[in-house]
Amino acid sequence: MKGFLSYRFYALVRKELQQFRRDPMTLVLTIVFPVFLLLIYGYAISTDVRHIPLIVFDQDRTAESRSFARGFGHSDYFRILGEVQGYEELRHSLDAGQAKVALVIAPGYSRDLQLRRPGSVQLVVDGSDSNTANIALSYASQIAREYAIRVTVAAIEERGAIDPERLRPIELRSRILYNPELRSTLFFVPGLIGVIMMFLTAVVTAGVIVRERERGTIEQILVTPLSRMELLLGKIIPFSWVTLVDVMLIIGVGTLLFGVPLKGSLLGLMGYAVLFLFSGLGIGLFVSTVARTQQGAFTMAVLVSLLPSIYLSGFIFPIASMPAPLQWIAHLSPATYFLQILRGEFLKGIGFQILWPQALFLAAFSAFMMILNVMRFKKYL
Amino acid sequence: MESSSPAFPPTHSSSAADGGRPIAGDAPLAIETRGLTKRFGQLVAVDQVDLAIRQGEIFGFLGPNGAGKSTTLRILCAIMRPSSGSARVGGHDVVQEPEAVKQQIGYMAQRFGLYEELTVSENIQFYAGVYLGGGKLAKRRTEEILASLALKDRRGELARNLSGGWKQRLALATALVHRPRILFLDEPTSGIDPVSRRQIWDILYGLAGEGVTLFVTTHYMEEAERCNTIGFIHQGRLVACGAPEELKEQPFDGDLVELEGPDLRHAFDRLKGRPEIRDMNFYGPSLHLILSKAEQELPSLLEEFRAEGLRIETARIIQPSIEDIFVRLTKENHS
Repeated sequence: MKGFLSYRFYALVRKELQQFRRDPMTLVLTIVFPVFLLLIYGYAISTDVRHIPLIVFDQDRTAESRSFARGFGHSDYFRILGEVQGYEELRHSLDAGQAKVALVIAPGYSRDLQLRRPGSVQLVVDGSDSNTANIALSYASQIAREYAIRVTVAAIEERGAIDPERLRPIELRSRILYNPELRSTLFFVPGLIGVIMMFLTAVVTAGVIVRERERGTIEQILVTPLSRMELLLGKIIPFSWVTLVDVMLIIGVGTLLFGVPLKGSLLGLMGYAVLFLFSGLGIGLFVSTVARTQQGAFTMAVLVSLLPSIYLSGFIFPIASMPAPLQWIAHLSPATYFLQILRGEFLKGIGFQILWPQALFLAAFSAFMMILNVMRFKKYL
Repeated sequence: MESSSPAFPPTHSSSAADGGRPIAGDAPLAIETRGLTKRFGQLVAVDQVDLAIRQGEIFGFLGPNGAGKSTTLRILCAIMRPSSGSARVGGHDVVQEPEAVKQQIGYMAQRFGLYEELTVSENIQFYAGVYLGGGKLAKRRTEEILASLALKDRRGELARNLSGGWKQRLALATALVHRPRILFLDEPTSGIDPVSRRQIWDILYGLAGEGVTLFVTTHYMEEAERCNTIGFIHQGRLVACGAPEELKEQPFDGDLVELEGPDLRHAFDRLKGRPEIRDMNFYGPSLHLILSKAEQELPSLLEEFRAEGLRIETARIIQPSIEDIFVRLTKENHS
């Protein structure tokens, strides 16, 4: 009777763990699903674009035109499939999806260059995959620009008018921090911890509480002297343990299998994870006090917690490029802040002195949800 | 709180026969309600109900489906708030001190409310833990209740694999593991075989013998007749309350027909408003009709059902039960 949490609470926790062990569906959701997601994002889904298949339609057939086309093949970005002999063949290759990009060199290309006129080159891009098309375009124009500069410099050198080195007023030397090879695995795997945690805390927790209502077992529990606090905590604490075990699992697989560096401290990361955990549980509990069926709870939890944490948190798409209303939602979602923490901890190794505003938001969000839930949850049918 | 005597007498005892055993008139009240009312929007589910049930009494609560039985029970168990009126259970007000009420009562809901994926003993242990803690006491009580309800051989079985009768027995075990002084049972024997029903009632009589107050809803006449007192609720109102013998004296006008089968709901809709149907009510799985002369009217009704393709499996003239008498009386009073 005395104290904040009594033996009643422990009886509930034990029961939850027994149920958890017996329920294959929950086991799949909590263990198999996260590992599956991790493998998909780690191996299969990659936004890195390399070796774009390219065909060449060289109407000029000179040493200069061949040298220009070879420039594309030398880069890592394109892979030259071969040459075509006409527009029809070119079109067919793009239609069939064999090539994504076609390079057309106009007749008279080398003569134009010799006469100091601009040589015409056309790039035909398959726009059905807009992401790849965009990247292909920017790679291609980069290659063409470099080539043009080389040609110009050679021409000027030939005349000996000025020092060619002075023809480049700005030299851009870029250096990429945190993920120098721009590997998308490093981008996705830390963020995935947030997505999976949100799934386990909000979606699964809402489900297990609504299940008690749906099956009628809640009635038998309500007649016992379990307090509201004991009931709520007894339901969510076992799931917190499971979630934290999952977090360790993902960190382990991410660092060992995918080589994601953990530059910050593991302990600090777990601390932030606990804050985020309570935010997610708060959402899950709230959903469970509103939804009447497991189906309804699932739909609602996915909508209010999982979708924002995947699509609006910056996990896949940058927040800055979203329309304003979606940005507002993004800034209210705890997943957004946790994602910044995750990338900061894993890739940048920054600490609390930089991440404290994010941590503060998570703490405030959790506290707000818990108060709301204790107020909303009634020990009545 | 501890006693060395067995929790329950053996189930083969003949205590089932001593229904109607007198309760001392000066025993303190275990359950008392005054003007208890519950509204759901426009509907008045429980309407100004006054009850006074003494300690050790078996109170049978009767009435057709939807009359307000389960709602009353839930209010008394402090899991639903009354709209107005008051109720005291075990000396505590259900609104002011719901947790004190909950400490003293056991409740068995109409719907099986245990965990299907846990075993028999895990279900009992859970409730033992909630009421008594995780220590030796909870363990001992779990063993005792497993023994006294003959659940020992099935302790490792998952609840979902039990038959209806065994499920009810398990539900009773979880409601009893903390030895409540007052026990609420919502149709504890509905839908189970006669042997299990008999066994469950033997257990209940044993409890009453130990001074436990029982508040039971039922549709079975022979069960109601063994209660000390029965209360009859109709459309939320307590229309009669007293010893079964007194109440049975009431006259009954007309013939009572009991119908059973899968298409009762359709039959009910067809018969609604017909002049030859004097009254109609659902009781658990069956539909009761009151006809002026059943021998003449029933065959043509059954012929009609057959022609319409309605499946009615049994149709027989039965002796009116106390419930039927009550409903009849109520309707006559209304008109």
